[in-house]
Amino acid sequence: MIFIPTLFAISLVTFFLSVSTPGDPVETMLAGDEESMVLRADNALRQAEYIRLRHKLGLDLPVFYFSLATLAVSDTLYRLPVQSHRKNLKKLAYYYGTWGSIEAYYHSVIYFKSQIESLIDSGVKADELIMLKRAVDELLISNNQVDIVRFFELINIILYSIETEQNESVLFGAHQEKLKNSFEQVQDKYFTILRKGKSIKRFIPTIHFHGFKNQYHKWITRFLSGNMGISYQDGRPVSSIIWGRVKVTLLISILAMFLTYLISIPLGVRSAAKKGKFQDSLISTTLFTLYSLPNFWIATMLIAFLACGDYLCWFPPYGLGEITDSMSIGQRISETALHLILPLICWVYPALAFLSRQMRGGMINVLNQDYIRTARAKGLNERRVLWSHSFRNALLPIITLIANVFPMMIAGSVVLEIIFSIPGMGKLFFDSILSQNYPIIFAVVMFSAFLTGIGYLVGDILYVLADPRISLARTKPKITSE
Amino acid sequence: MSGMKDKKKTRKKLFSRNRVLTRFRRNKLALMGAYFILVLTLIALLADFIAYDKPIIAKFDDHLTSPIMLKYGVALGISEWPEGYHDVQWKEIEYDFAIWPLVRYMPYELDYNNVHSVGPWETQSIKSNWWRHWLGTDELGRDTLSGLIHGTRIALSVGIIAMAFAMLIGLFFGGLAGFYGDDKFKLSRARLFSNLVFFLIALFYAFVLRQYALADALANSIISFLGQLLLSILIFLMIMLAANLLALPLKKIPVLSKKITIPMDLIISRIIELFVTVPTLIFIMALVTIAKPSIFLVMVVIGLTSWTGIARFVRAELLKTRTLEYIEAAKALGFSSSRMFFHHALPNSISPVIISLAFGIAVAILIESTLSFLGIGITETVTWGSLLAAARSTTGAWWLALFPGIAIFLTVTMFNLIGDGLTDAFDPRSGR
Repeated sequence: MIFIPTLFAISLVTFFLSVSTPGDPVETMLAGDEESMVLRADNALRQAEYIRLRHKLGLDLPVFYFSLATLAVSDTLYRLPVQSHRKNLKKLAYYYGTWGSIEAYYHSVIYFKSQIESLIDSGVKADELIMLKRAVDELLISNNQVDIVRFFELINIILYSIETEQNESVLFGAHQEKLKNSFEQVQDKYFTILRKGKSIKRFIPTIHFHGFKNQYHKWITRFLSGNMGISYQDGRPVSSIIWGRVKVTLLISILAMFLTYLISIPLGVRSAAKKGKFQDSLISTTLFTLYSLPNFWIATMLIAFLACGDYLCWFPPYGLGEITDSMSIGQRISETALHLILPLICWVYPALAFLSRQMRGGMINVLNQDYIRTARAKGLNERRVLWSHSFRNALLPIITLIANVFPMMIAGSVVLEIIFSIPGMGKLFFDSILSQNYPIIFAVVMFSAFLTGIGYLVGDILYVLADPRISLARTKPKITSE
Repeated sequence: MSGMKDKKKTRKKLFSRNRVLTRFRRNKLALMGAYFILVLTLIALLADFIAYDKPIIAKFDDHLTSPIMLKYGVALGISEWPEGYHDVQWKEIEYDFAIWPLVRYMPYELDYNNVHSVGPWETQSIKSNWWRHWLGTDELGRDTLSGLIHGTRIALSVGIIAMAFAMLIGLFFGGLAGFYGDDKFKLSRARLFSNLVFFLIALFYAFVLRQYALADALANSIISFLGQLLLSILIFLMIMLAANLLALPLKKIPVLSKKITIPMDLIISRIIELFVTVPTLIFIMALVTIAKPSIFLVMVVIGLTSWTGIARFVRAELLKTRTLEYIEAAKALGFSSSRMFFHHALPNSISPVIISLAFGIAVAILIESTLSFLGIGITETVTWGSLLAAARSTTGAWWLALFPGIAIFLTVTMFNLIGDGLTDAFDPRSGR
């Protein structure tokens, strides 16, 4: 259970990575949502949907239990809905330090924008209004004086150019006066900021405490109860997506591990028995070569040459095959097996070298022991000495190496699943990276850490079981001569 | 007298170093690896003179020039292109004579006459065999051999720089953990307290206050970011130094002067565990998504994730040596702890570090090529991994899969052989 604090630390790291990622997740989700195509037309509805989603994702809370910030920046900033505006206001506050006047400025701009939008929504068709809206949007994300003044001038020009072309409409004229008025307000508020700005404030540190109502707390408590959030792409819960994928990865990894042991143990025993002879050096050299072969290269080559790439078509190149209900069990097994052969080869061979080498070392160690000499002196045949006397003793430490092999399999699964298009955790991870689907990315990171931790734990337990001289309770660091 | 002593000392040192070298030389495979890497380094350094789209030396219109050197001059800001050289079609003009590089293409250069992946032995539409694509082209008509030659630079530099970075971190943490162990790092309460408080303040002035300077630099380029980061770290260190100076007078107060033991080894072992638990490739891929991918990012990230092995070796070695008699003797003689660390403890742990550097470079090269192969690592230039990735989208182009793979394989194997050789050479028990 020693890895629980480690898992917490990893959760902290992954959480802060996910917070510092670029882009606005709410925007991503809105863009991925088909209904939003309808929503986009109506500004007020869209705004409401944005706020609803933000609340659903829990993004309307402070990030952590406490935050270290400058005095210049308000501690209630996180309540503002739109991320780009929030970032911009934070920067403004950072430079000018007078939060009250900045807030007033922001509200005046938002009010001005809402006036324009309600005009557009009420059916006034003027290109100028659209241009105006665009300029205001730009204004909301600009923070240096040059840019802001430039947009002010632009807006002024547009506002007054409407006058000359559309003054036949009396109704619009009244609106236009209102627009002009509120824009006066905007400019006024901005110059107040400039006048009152105190840049000294940003040099004073403050710590804000936010209590338990924060994003991390919510995220980790949900995560522990099995709710890993929702995918940004299709809104499905991450846990339901990830479980099916983890099963595939686990299945293949365990199968590969089993195969690795099955092949490497006889190889290791054989080369230990023939130590220094031709067979030993042949096995060692081959395994060493295999160890250095990049598995993504071998996978590419295997697909190109054996799986309907350029030459032979012995194996299907991609996926795990289609399993239909009409298939008999035998057919299902053969279908899956055919798809699994090439991936399994690539999964197994890198670990093979490592394990066989350990097995060989362990066997040689045991074969040098006194009791083996005794066994030989007794006149037991070599086969008996090898398999029933030494093998068992050498086997136990090898089994504990699961702690190293299992994480190797999990890590290796990323590349191989991508190449062979196997719908496992690694493939999911890669696809999420390409689509910047952070809830899934970090769920996978947590999961792989968890699985690796389990691997180490199993290794430790087996170690204790294999060697009664070692107990888990021992606290002193063991220094090995390695 | 002392001069003679010194001479003896150096001779002794040389002798032991020589012994390691002789043992290394006797290992044929390791020696082969070393020579291979040497050749590879030469290729990387001279890549522009082996594969380039301009002649090395050329004479035309009665001018004798060296376009490559001119290019270097311009890149370094020493010289400018002479009048009318901007639009010279180096491959079209008639030369009085010209010495071309072995391969007359740049890795990113599109040869429109040989698109859709032409194989090495297929007929290529070229002027003469001098213009041949010796290892074929890819879908866009880019030369594979040129990509391999220039990719050497990326592979070696990523491997070496990432591991240098990893070594610094590993030595630091491993050194701290191993040298102090769980019981030797003692602080007075005053110092601990002032360090904790000033840590927050330092964090604020170094990073929170400078957040926009840092973010802007990161958006600009990774080099300017490193500059800004260095400045931030300097500010941080200055404030922490102030904290420790402040602790000196505070220590006079009896309550605050009590010593507290910090279990350095435990803390650092936990940090190492943290890094080991997340599979490296997954961690790197997650990190790469956050910042803009570039060579430096890949180097830094690989370095950040592969220091744990070195740290563990150094820790284990130091924990072992600190109980040895000569360290006890040094302690009894009243040597300062920094002297004991740098003169006595560290040199002893250097051999496992060198060994794991050799293996580490191999792993770093593998990781880099994997990332490029997946298309999420270095995207600005052609690398071995990206060449291999091209093979996946082009059916029938075996040369795109074979040659980059061999390059990666050979390089990784040779570094592994060197590592093996070093292990044997440093091990006095190995009879060979």
